[in-house]
Amino acid sequence: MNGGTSFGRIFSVLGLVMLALLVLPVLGLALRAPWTSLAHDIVEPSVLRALGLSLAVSSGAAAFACLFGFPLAWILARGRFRGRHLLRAFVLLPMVFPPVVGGVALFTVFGRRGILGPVLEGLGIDLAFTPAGAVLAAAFIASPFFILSAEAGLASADRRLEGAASTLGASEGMIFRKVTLPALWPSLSAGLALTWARALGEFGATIMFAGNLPGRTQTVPLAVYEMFQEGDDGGAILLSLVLLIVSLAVLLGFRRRAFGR
Amino acid sequence: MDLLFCANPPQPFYHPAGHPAKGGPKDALDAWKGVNPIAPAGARRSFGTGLDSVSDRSRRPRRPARRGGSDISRASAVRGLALLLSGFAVCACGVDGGRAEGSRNEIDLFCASSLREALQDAAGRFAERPEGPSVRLQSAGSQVLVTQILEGAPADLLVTADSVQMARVVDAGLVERPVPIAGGSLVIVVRLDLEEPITSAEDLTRSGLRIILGGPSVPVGRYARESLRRLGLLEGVEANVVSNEMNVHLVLGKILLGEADAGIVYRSDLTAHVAGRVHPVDFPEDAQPSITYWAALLKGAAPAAEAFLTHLRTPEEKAHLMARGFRPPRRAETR
Repeated sequence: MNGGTSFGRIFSVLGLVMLALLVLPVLGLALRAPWTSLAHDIVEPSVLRALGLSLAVSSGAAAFACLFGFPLAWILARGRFRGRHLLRAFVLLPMVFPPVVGGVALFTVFGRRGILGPVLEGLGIDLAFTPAGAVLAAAFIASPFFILSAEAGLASADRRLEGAASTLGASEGMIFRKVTLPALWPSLSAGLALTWARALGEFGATIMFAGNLPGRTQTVPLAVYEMFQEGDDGGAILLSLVLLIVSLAVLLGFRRRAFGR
Repeated sequence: MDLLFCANPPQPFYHPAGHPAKGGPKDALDAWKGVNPIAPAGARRSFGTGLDSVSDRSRRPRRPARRGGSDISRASAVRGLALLLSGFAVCACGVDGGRAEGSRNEIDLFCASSLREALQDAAGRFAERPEGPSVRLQSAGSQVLVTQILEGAPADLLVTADSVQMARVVDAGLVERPVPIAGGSLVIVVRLDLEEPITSAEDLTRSGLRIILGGPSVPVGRYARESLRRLGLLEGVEANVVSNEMNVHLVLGKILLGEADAGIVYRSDLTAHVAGRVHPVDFPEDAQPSITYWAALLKGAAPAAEAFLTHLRTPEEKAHLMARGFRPPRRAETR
């Protein structure tokens, strides 16, 4: 912080307001959580199952976003074709889908009566009401975060470095591995973290498309919602906090590895 | 039958957990304990005053060890989160508007999803009367409404689809004397284009089917499981269950979408809007659970709310409910 300038002072105050909004609710939850029963609750099989499923589903969605999202980001950033801006807008739409509508939208494509329904049935692939469906729902909602971030990185990358490597005789694959990717790493890892975190908290599309069955498709957000409805607000808060702590640990660890700091 | 609806004074509320002094039917009590995963082991207590209620609520039946911090402050702290979460299911618009005035001509009615259309109509007829107050209706799964009210949501009148959920607000001391306003029955709904038809409850155990039920804490899901257990089919059907929905409309919705094969809903859910879009299959009469819709005025409710509750129990309104597929409340629960 550049404390001497008036800008620095104003920004500190405004930034603190923002920080308060972001951090205080978490603190409030932490203060009210029945921590004394944590040791008892955390080992409950239903809690562990939901937690394990949530981690698996969000990691699956993040992997999906990497594998298929990066090429799309590349096309959006480097491609020169008509309708690119329209395409980009479409790619971001899932971020604003109302919760339940996202699930219905997935049904219209991957459901039994969906556009791809007969094809998937022929292949023996079942997505609705399955863990794979939960991954699909999370990837649908969360991938735009990765694509957006990757595309921004690609667009701002200095392409002269790639040109220089090329004149020095590097192959296309080598340029990608040794020049393009390292320069992109900060935006890719940020995008990955955002996508993973968003997928971890995914609720609406998941409960609609993948259903809500403990041990199979009931992720932590769904379990928390159900606990709240059953009047177990202490358990719901505790489970939410466990999820927050796990994500915090993963995001911090991920950041350290990604940036070496 | 009319007596059941218009009895005056109202029948005492049958507490599902049983009450040492008032005592409910023993068989219904056992059935309830059998199916409800959150059956409070320590729920055999008095209906509770407002003072008891706070600590009562925090006494989680499955987690007796949990105690910590002040219960009162915890209850108020979770209020925001509860409303946020439950807001997912309910479009809670303008709940607060105009509550400050003493004699407002509006009623905030919280009603179980399955009664939404019926009570909307009833409210419409009520509002037509001279000086008839308007009714603002919010509907959701009963367990959601109850959680909202326990967390401080302003309501004048609450209608739940079962006594288990009503007991939570009774225990909290927020209402007095719930009265039964209707009964109901279950029906199996099957998607239209199912290759191998379902003609009986037994067929629901056929492997490979995608069955949708309400969640175990949602009244319709609790009733359905109670009946399936009575038929000895619960295990077989549970093996086919792909999702526990949060209210009865979501069960029906996924059958209507054609994505699930069959589900169990209330007969009164088979409205004109649904007719011809799902295939209804009768549930065996002897396995029908005792479904009762309970209504209760919240303490400090607007006087108009009491008038509306009286209106709901008139023979005319009863006839409207019957026409929609509801039943008179069963005697077992209305004693």
